[in-house]
Amino acid sequence: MGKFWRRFCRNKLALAGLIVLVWFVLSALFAPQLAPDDPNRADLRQRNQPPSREHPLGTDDMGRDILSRTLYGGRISLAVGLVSAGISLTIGVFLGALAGFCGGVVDTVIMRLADVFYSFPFLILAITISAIFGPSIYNTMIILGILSWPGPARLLRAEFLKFKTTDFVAAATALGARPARIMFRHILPNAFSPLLVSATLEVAAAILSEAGLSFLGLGVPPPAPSWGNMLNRARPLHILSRMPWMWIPPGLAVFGVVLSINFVGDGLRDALDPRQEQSSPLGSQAAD
Amino acid sequence: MWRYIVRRIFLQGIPVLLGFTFVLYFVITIAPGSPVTHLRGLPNIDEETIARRAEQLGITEPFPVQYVKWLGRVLRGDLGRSFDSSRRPVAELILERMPATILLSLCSILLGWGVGIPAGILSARRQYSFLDYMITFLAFVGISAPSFFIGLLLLYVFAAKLNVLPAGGFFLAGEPRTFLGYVQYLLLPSLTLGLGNIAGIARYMRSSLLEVLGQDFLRTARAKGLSDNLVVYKHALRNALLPILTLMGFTIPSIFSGAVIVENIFAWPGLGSLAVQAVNERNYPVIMGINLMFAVLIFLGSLIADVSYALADPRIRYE
Repeated sequence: MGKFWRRFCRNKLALAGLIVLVWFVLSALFAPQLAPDDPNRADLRQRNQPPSREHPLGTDDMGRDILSRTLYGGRISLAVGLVSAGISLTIGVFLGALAGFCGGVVDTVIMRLADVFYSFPFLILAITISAIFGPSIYNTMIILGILSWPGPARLLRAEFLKFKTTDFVAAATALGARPARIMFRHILPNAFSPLLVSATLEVAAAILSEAGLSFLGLGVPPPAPSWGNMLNRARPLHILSRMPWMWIPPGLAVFGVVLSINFVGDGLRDALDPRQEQSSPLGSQAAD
Repeated sequence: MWRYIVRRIFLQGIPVLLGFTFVLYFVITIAPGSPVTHLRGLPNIDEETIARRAEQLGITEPFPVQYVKWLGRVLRGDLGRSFDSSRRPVAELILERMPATILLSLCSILLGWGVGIPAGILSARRQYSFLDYMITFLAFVGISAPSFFIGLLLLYVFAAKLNVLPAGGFFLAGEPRTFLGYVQYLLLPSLTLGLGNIAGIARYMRSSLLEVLGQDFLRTARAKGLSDNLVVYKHALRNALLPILTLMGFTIPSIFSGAVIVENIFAWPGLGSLAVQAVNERNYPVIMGINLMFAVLIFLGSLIADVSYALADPRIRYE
């Protein structure tokens, strides 16, 4: 652990990313304590106000406090990101492990299915399904989770193929361990490092997708604040050009969180896999 | 080569498209509510009229029958008619919007190559220099940047504040189609759409060139006294560019995904904005048509990428 931490800290951008990320997570967790106002309280006399002492980041077109909405929006955006990444990793790990371990027809069927999902414009499918079932926070989590399993599945399949022929697996088989035990007790822990890196990147992608869906009005529905639907409200040209305080904070928040998670993921990749040659100045292999 | 193309189309393309449309059609059919549900709320309408309307739309039949009928019509080039009041043929709507989307996507792919490849080369040639750090850092920023925020930011700066570029749209009715006009309308949307692509290609190009530069035949080229430029541009670059071609097949789906958002920000009259409009109106024939169209475009794109890879690299043989 100490060695891992030292290696992680050597990548300055990863460390900076981690600090920014922790800051975002804390401010989302403590939103009720930090927010100056109720995020959903509309005050029609205080509409479209620029930043002031009472409203540090101004108010929106319904007189709601932008800072409070950005803080609470962080809770929803991070929750959607974590849950949908959790769903896609669960499906991906299970199917990838099955494909890599069983091989043959099972492998072919699962991987062709992954190809179908992979070769499709993710967002178009997501808006279609979201419109059919009606946009809601839970539907957004499920849709993003179900549509993004092929990434982790391919990774896990490769890891399982690598370990399937090793001696310790042969030994476990000889001792009479059942396939499920070999898969999840013996092989899976060995795939932990790449899985962790892929998990961080999945969370970043899910946050980005949620914001994109909500920006199109097909993700988290108002009045609940999410960074994406706050940006959606700022699209009319008069708001865009004259009231930048309405859309810059949520936009910067999405940008900041995704960037810091990507840096952390990069740092984790280096710290967990010291054998990899350090070709990038930020300490990573550039190719994904 | 021809055998490979035919096999790809019949063994991979058609099964994937069939599977995809089947699943999508199924999801649309099991969805709560049907295209006649809203009629129940209207006054002066009895159950009989609703039933007749449902029959007209062909939604009373069981799912497999509906799907097979839909597929049969699609094979004859008939994508059905839009559910909205215009009742226009879906194929016509799609053909009208497709050129704008393809133009925008091509521009952002070209932008990705035109900026990403030189940036990657610079980065690799000056490995660990300040420039290399800057390019790698910017590539991270480009990959993480949400297109909707960047799009709004660009509109704010160039259309609202500086007032030098149009705030979206694509040629007003009657406006002469000059080259300058194309540049003005295309610049912001294709930059927004291409940003991630530029960053991805720069990163990929850097590592690909570094890998090639470490190989023996380049040491030989250097040893026999070739200049650095000649080594990089004549010997290394050709090999390093090959993986970029395969990358193209992977970027096409993400370009189309991005187009949905970018077209909406910039009021671009393409398939992406049609998709969002159709989805909001629950206009199922249009949704199915657009999804099918994108699936076909993506399949063709990846096929072209693989074929050009084989053409560019004589070592690759698809049997």
